[in-house]
Formats: sequence, C-alpha cells, structure tokens
Amino acid sequence: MTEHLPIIIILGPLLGAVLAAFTAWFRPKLSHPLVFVGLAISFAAALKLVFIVADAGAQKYWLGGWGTKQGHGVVGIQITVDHLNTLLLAAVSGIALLTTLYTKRLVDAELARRQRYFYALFSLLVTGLLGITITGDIFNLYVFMEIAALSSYALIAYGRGRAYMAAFNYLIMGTMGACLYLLGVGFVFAKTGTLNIDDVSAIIPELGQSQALFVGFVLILLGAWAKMAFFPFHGWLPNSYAYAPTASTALLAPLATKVSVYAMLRIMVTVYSIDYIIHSPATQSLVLYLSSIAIVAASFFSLTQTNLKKLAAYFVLSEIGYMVGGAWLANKPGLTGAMVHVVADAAMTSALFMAIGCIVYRLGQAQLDDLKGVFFKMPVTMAAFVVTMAALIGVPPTCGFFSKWYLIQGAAQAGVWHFVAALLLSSLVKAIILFRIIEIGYNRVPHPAIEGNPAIPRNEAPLSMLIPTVAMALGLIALGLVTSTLVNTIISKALPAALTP
Amino acid sequence: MENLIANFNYVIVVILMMIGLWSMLAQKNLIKKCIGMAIFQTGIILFFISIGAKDNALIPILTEAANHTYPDPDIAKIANPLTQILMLTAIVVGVATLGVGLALAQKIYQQHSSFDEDEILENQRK
Amino acid sequence: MEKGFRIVPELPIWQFDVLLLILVVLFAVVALSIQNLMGAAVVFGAYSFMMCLIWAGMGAVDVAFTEAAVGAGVSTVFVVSTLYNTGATMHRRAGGLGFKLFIGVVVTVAGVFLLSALPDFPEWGDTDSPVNATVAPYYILNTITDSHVPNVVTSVLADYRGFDTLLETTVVFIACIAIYSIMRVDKAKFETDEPTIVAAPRYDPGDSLIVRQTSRFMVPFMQLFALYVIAHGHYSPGGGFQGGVILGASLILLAISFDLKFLLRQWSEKTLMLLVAAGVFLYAAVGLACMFMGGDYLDYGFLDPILPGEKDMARSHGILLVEIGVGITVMFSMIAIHINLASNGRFDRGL
Repeated sequence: MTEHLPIIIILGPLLGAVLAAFTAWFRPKLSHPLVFVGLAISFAAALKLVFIVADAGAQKYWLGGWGTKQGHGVVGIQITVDHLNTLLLAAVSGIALLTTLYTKRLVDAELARRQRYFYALFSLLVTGLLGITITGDIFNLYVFMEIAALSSYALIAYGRGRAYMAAFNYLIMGTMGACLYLLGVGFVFAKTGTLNIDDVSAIIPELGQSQALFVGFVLILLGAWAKMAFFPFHGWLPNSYAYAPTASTALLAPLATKVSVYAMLRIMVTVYSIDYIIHSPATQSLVLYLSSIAIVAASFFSLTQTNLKKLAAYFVLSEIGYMVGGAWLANKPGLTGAMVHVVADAAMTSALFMAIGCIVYRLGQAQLDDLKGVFFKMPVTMAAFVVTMAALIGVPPTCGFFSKWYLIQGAAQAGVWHFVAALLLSSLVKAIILFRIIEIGYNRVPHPAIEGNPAIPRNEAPLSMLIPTVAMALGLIALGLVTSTLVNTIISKALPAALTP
Repeated sequence: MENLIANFNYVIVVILMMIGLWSMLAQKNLIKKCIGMAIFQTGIILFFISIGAKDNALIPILTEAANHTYPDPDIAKIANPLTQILMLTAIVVGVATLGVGLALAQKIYQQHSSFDEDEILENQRK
Repeated sequence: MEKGFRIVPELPIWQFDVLLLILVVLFAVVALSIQNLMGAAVVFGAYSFMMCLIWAGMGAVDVAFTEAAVGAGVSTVFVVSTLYNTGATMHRRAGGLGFKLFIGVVVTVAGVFLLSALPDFPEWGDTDSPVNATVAPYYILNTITDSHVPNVVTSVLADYRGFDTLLETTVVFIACIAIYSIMRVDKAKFETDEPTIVAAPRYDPGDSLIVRQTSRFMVPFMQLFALYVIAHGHYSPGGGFQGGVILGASLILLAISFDLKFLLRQWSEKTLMLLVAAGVFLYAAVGLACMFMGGDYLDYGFLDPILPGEKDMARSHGILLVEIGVGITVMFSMIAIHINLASNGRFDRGL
C-alpha cells in the first residue's frame, strides 16, 4: 500500500469533492464531512510520506504504470514526492484540513442557502494545489494550475457584489499567467522533446547555450509570477481576497500563492539548474530589486489600509517578495530561507486569516475602527492574533524568525543590502500595525474597572472556529522549534548539489 | 529573413499572442477581454501543433488501408500524436475558462448594466 | 484513409497555408475591433473554423475536430447566450490612449523577445526534431501491441497520459459547478435578493416553423453521429470530448429552436448536475478499480479479470469506459453551462 501513497494524496480531495457534488442534491449536510474525510486521508498520506522521504529519499509513482522506456524516457505522467515538496504537501493538506473544520460555521453564516457546491469547490481547489506540488510533469502542472484557478474564481465570486469584478480581474490575470506558463512549456518541449521534469533536467545541460530555452525560462517565470501576484502582476490580489467570503479567503490566502512560489522553485532548482541563475547576474539583480520593491511597496500600502482583510492581503504580497528574493539570491542560506518560508508563511497566513475570520464572525466586519474593545471581548482570539503577528514580524521562537534569519543571512552573504533593508523595514511596519491594533483594541475604550462601566461581555467565536485558530497559532511556535531539525533532515537535501556551502 | 519564411507559423503564433495579450490588458470591454483570451490560447495551440508537424506526414491513425506499413509503422510518415493530445486538453481548458469568464461578465453586467471596465469602476466608487 | 486524407500532397499547396495563416490574423484583428459584440462573436467563430483548417492541414485531425465542436461551436453559443441576456452594443469611450499605447509597447517588446528565439527552433516539419524523436515515437510504435488502438491520439489521451485527461474532465466539471454557483439564483428569493437589470430580449426566438422542424429532424442524426464518434474513437478521429460536445450541442440546438422549458422538461436541473459529476466519478472509479486489482492508478491492463480479453484488450476496453465517462461529463456540462448563461441562472426561460 505504501507505494500508492503519492496518488492517494490527490485522490482523497478529488473523490471527496465528486462525492460531495452528489450528496449536495440528496443530503446537503453530508458534503462537509465527506470533504473532511477526503482531506484527512490526504493529510495522513502526506504525513506518512514525510517520514518515508526523510528515510528513503524521493518516491516516484507512474500513472498507469507507464514509466521509463528504453530510448524514450518516461512515456507517461510521473508524480514525485521528494525533499523539495514533501513538507509543503503535508502543510497544504494539513492547513486545508484545519480550515475545513474552521469554515463550517462561517459558511453557514455567510453563504447560508447558496452553499450547495462550496465544499466541492473547496476540495477541488486543494486538489489543484496538491497536484501542482506533487506532479513531476510540466504539462500536468499546467492542468493542475487551471483546476486550482477555476475553483478559486468560483470561491471568490461567492462574495457577490464587488467580488465579481475582483474575480474577473483574477481570471484575466490568472489565465494570462497560465498561458505564458504553457507557452514557456512549449519552448522547453520544443528543445527537449519530453515533458517529464527529471528527463528535461537531464537534457537541458546537454543543449548548452540556447536562446529558446532562455525565453522559455522567462515565460514560465512570468507565468508563475502572475499566478503568485509578484510585483508587476500584483493588482488582482488585494481586491480578490478582501471581497471574497472570509471562508474562501481563509483557504486561498495561505495556500494559493505559496504553491505558485513552490512551482517557481521547482522550475528554478530542478528543471533548470541553479547555475542558470548564477550565470545571468543581470536578470538576477533585476529580480532582487523587484523583490525589494514588492516588499517595500506592499508594506507601505498595508500602512494605509483601514480594512483588516485588505491589510492582511498586503501582508501576503510582501511575503511573496521575501520568497522570490530568497530564491533568487541563489546561495545556500537564501534558498533554504525561501524553502522554509514557503511552509512557514503558509502556516502564518493561515493563522492570520483564521483569527481575522473569528473577528469578522463576531463583529460582522473588519474595519480597524470596529476593533475597539476587541481584546476584552475576544481575548483568546486576540492572543492567537498577537502570536501570529509576532511570527510575521519575526520574533523568536516562532517559525517566522528562523526563515527570516536564513533570508537575511543569504542576502548578507550575497551582499544584497537593499534586500536586507527591505526585510527589516517590512518587520518594522508589521510591528507598527500590531501596536496600532493593540492600541485600538485595548485603549480606545474606557477600561471597565476604572470608570465603573459595565464590563464588556466576553463573546468568543464558536469553538469550532476558535480551536483551529488557537491550534494554528500554537503550531507556529511548534514549527519554529522544529525548524532546525527539518532543515537538517529534509530541506538541506533539497538544495542543488552545485551550490557552494 | 530566410528563417522568417521557414518558420512562418511561429511568426503567426507570436502575432496572435501579441494581439491576444494586448486585448486582455488594454481593452476595456469585458467580452472583448474574453475573446482576446481565447485568441491567445489558440495561438499557443497553433505553436504546439507546429512543433509537432512533419513534412509529408499522415494523420496519426494506424490502419491497414493507409500506407503505414501496419503494424510496424514508419515514424517519419505519421504526425506527432503527443502535441495533439496536449492541445486537446488545452482547448477544453480554454472553453472552461471562457465559460466562467462569461458567467462573471454577465453577473457584472446585471449590477452595472455595462461591460465597460471604467464605467464599472466608476459605479463601484459611488 | 485514401488519398483525400494526405496532408501535403504532391501539389505544392503551401500558398494555401500561408493564406489561411494571414486570414487568421486578420479575423483576430476584426473580432477585436468590431463595435457590435454579436458581430465580434460571429467573427470569432469564423476565426476558430479557420484555425481548424490549419490544424487539419498539419495532420492534427482530432484537435481540429475538437476545435470545430468546442471553439467554433459551443464557445460561440456561450458568447451569444451571454449577449442575449445583456446587450450587444458597446459604446466606445474617449481617452485611455496612453495606457493602450503603453500596453502596445510592452506587448511588442514581448513579441520581439519571443522572436529572438526563432533561429534556435528546429525547422518546421523536421522529422528528427526533439519533439518528434524523443517520446512521441514510443506511442506510434507500441500502441497496437499495448492496447490495440490504431488511433494513437486516443491511446495516448486515455491511456499513456490518462491522468491528464482525468484532470481535464475535472476541469470541465469544475467549470460547470463554478458557473452554476456563480449564476444560479434562488427562485423564491429572486425578487428581493439583489436588484438585477435584465435587458429585454433583443432577439425574439419567435415561432419559426422551419427552424423548429429542421432541428427536430436533425437532432437524432447528430446524436447518432455523436455516439459513433465516442464508440469509434479507437479507430477514427474523435472520442469522448468530441462526442460529448456534439451530444450536448444537439440538445442545445433543441433548446434554442424551441424553448429552454422544452429541454428542462426532459432533463431536470438535478439530473443534469448529478450526471455531470457521474462522468468524472466513472473515470476516477475505473482508475480505482485498477488499483484494487493490484496495478497502478489508471493501469487498465490489470482489469483483465473483469473485462473480456487479455491485457491489451483490457486496456482497449478500459479506454472505452473512461471515454464514456468523459462523454457524459462533457455533454451535460455543456448543457448546464448553456442553460445557466442563457437563462441568467433562473432555469426558466432564455435563449
């Protein structure tokens, strides 16, 4: 049975979604548990694979049994679990599982009678994201990309009103990204003749200097950037995440962009070798500048926001700058930092949006001014929120500290000081925002004990939302504590061997 | 120049891609954006089919009636099936995206009675 | 496969290809610059047909077939039914020229960048190019021994790269439930839920006797042909997608020539949406069955104890099973999407 684990990761949510689409017409209440079970199976398989990969190295699985044939390479589609993606697979399925538990009450409140296909689409989005992460075939990745994209357009459009336009803009940008990616795949395919990632990476060094391969590389990167909302393509993200239902955002924000970053890492590290970047310093420094601009601009815009959801969306944008920049430093600490940060940021963003979801559930909306007294009203939620913000700022021992430490180390080693400055500035801005929220939440109401006001009644979010939120916030600290173990046993082995230590 | 004529298909692909991309980004009308998107996609499909084309090749169906030396076919005489399968997938993905785009556009029209992006944004600011 | 199917016969007809390629660009420009959106939709349909000819000319008959059914056929219907509920005119507004020019410059730079790779490409039609000489020959050489399917496209589609096709079917399924979730309005809440502006129908379907009788006469033939396309996809161009789209189109034709209600009397909303999921489920379940019989996912060869014939024939039958699954999902998705777009999500009346 162990050899089937990689495909089970995909089949769990896929079949869960299809069955949920059936039961939606007979027993609508069954949709949620079905999707939950599917994701639980997927998470169990992913977790088991982390240990298998740590012990025995990469696991490969050929769909339909079509593996390598003499003289032709792999003729079928391969899915791979190796040191680069195993942690992300576990993180994606785990976060999705917790989010499923968490969204139940939110969906009942926000979507009420319109939720017929919500969980099916939710589960299909996770299928797409897991597929992008696990696949070992560059064309198959495109198909998974579209699965994730189409379901996320629908999940955003559930927000109605302004969400329709936001979803439409996302659709245009997302399709543009997918098309550029596909065209890039075409260029690579034209030169190598195969789509399998392992085979392509074996052929590319033999071809030497090739303009077509370079153009393909740039196209694939542009496609991935459009999907992850990196600097020049970021326009669609804040509105999409702000106007989508909170339940959709809680799943989309932590996972969708991170998986695109992973796709970029996979192309950079495995398909093309990292030498490709080291040997084109002009492109490298251009991308590093773009990352710094992304971080600084997103931080600046997050200061001007009054809506908590939009503010958090700008955090997502600045974190993308961290990861792209870290990857393009193309040295050991930089790449390690990017790889750790993909997982860490998925967890941090998830915790952040879960806490925001709890606040929205109780307060009805999330303008900063509405937060008056929220620390008295929802102390547990706000404690989780503060821990999450601390992780985003990079306070030890949370996971945010370690990934940021690697990134700064990498930037210092490469001598890219503007990136170091951008990282520190972004932490500073997040600290300012945290203190502003604390000020509004604690101090802008008369303290009950002093002025004899009636005490503000405690009114936490329901337990089904509160428990995942707190679990996620505690997970951030736990993840921080095991970071060094993970780096030593798994991530360090995912780094390309060519890198100088 | 010689290259340009030998690879005329590629040139057309690039032109279609430019038309489609320009229309997706610069046009203000939502339906036109959708059509531009579809043109971009067909351009990519043309690219894939072109790289899999062979001179004097037959369609990839091996039958005794065709001069395929069945069942031991001559590869050079049969068009590349792989690029075709990939593009079948791309066509279907394209129509799926187009459908979702049109559904969203229709919903937007109901709110703003316009397909014009600027008008919609003005309406939203009110 | 007589002479008529030869792709590049002895007569030099490359001028014809060049003409078609230039026409395609022309049609694209016209479709995007025309003021009337209905006109744009029609020109876009013509553009798709032109593309079909080019692809058929390069030996990609299956792709041409799909594009004819999907790109030129169903896509155009989708655009038209959207316009039916909205309005076909667009008013051009002044201004924004700077932005358009800027995008133009960006796009031109991108185009020049793409063209810079041109000398590096293998020549058009080269039989020894990497694409034609690496993986692809395996399929041509082994499809008969592996699965007895002469149409290589079908065997690669459903067997060698069957996973892609499962996901592609899932994409259609997602599009269908996504559009359903976006468009469908609760009938009871329709009046109060959100203010909707519905344009008066601009094209009265009216009572055209000729249209009705002709389509009533044609539909059985279309459906028969579609079933042939699905069942005979092993031996001739076609398969689940093409057949499914044609089946869907035959019912859409009925809906357009008669009335949406006419169609909904036979296929209720619930039946349609359940069948859409059923196709994907069939495909995924065949894969699961392979796993339970001891093979890898989607390895139809392991189904030989339950399907007639040896391993190779089991593959052939497995391919037929999944093609049927694809056909079901595609057919009902196309119908459901059309109903949603045409009736504005109300499932009562419309184009």
